Amino acid sequence: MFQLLFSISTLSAMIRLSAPIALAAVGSAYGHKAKIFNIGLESYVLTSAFFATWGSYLFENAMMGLVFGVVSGVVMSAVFGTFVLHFKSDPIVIGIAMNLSAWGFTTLLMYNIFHTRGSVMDSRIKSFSTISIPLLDRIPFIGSILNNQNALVYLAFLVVVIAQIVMYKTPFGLRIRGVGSNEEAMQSAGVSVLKYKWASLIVTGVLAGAAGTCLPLCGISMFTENMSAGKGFLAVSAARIGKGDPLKSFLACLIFAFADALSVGLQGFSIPSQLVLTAPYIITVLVMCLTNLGELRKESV
Amino acid sequence: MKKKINFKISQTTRLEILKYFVSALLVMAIGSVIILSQGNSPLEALKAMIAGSVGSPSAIGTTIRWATPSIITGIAAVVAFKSGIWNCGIEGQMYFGAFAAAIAGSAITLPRFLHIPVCLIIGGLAGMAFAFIPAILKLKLNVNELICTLMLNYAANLFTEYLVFKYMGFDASELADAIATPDMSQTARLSVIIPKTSATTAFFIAIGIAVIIYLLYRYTVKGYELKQVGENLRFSKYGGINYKRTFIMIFLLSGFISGVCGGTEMTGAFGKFRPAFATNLGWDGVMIASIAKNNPLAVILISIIWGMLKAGSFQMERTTSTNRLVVMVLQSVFVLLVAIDYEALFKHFKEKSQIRRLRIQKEEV
Repeated sequence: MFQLLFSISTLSAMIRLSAPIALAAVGSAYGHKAKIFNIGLESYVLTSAFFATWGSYLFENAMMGLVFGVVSGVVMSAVFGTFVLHFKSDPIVIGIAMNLSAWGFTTLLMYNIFHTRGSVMDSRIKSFSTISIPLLDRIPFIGSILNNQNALVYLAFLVVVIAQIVMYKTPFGLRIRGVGSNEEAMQSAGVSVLKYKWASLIVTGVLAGAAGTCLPLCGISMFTENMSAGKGFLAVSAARIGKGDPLKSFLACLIFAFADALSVGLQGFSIPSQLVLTAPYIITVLVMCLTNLGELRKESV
Repeated sequence: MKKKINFKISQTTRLEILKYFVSALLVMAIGSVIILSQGNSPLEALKAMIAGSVGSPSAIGTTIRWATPSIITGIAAVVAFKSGIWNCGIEGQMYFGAFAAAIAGSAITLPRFLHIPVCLIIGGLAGMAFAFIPAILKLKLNVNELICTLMLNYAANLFTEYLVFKYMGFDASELADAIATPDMSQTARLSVIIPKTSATTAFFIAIGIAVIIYLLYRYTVKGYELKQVGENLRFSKYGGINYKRTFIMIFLLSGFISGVCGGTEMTGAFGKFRPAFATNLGWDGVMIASIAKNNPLAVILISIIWGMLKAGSFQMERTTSTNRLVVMVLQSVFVLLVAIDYEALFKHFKEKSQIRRLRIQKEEV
């Protein structure tokens, strides 16, 4: 069993499964830094998963799926932003309501467009293909884990790196962090708080849209009802664990993805499948506890 | 002076009512559009909704049946939200409560007048025990209770399914439909109030819980303390309220009520525990609490409307082939519309127009 834990197939699955959570978590990290508690991320992911499927179906092209997914993510973010920033509603209430409506909304649209219930499978839905990187396959262990992954997985890695640079090395990132840490100071420094909150929301929308695209177009080419199944929540908790730092959030995502990959791998053993399936959720809670534990200890010193 | 205050209150309540009315109209308009897009007539759908919710005794029974869990979960949410605690794990606590109550109902033999309360209390305690996890994590480790309870919801659903397997000695390969605990004995079942429906005396239990919570907040010192913790944390600390103890108490109370809801579902409508029996009942409670603005009595009213919508949506799906998820979308849109803070919006516009006026004056000078 120990062999299974660190086998190539488990680690490779971890990398593949981390992509959607990582993209959404990096998006959520921008929201976290700008002090917007966005529990509605789950609805962004689900909605854009549906629209990505539809876009891919319409044009028989995975790229158009990504475009559809990203646009729908931004639209969802705009709805959230309008309610929270302009109508002064409670972000948690809005987030919960959006999550609930997204489930009904995508299922209804699925019925309207594809005339099916449950799931959509069609040969016209095209996924992104896997990419083989020339030199990577020469490296023994790491090569077989990292190589031949889906294009979106590499996109996710790229996004994490870029997000880290933008967050800490550019004026834009500085202002977003400033808006979160001291609103009044930023206002008096002549920065429009509202503008930067909106900017962070749009970033969240774009990345959550890409995360949603990962779900149907990362190989399986199908959309199922309530497909996101808590991925958005995982992303929000990853961003919280990483305190809004994209790289740290990504590491948290890797842990979740590892639990997820393990729950697939362990199903062959005699451990009851229900217990195995709870692993990602329990591990999320545990990681949250552990990171907070470290922090409390630091405070007490 | 007194008259003036009175007038002011009545005006704000009037505005509130207007807000709900306008939101309801808007939701109906959106609903018509969605139903039209599905190729059905909104009028037919509305007719089916009315027939399915109040059209016949059995329809009223269905309405009451679905209003019952909505009231209890709504109250569970109110208890937590009123104190500013985001307990979104109502659904998970309910699963544990329901499982414990179902086992108590089938495994223990007791006279009827004892058996039902025992089942409900055991259910409540199970829900409470499960609520203790996020509560203690928040208090000791400062883990965000909202995310924690969300994650535990998924875990609770799977874990109770595992418990059913374990209890029944099933193999994991067995059919999903057959997975359930044994039938509860008749002494543990609530009596039906409208024949041939699932409307049971659980409805009165639900209303009883709502009224007790209302009285608790309205007339007791404890209720005042609980409310204070939510309204102003720092002030309540200075006021000498033990914040930690109060926090745990609120969380446990909310979990207990959720567990009781699981118990009433088992002793009332279901009679045995099936995994994942409560699709979205917990979230219904969260939505209702936010619409009712945390008023326990308003929860009853809104829950009855919720029950009507749910009962009507089944009939609508049968007769007009409109997907009943339409109703769920509309419910959450209603939550969105009611969540808008119109007062802040109004103030914002007023300020803007004032700034504009000042600018014009400046230019004139």
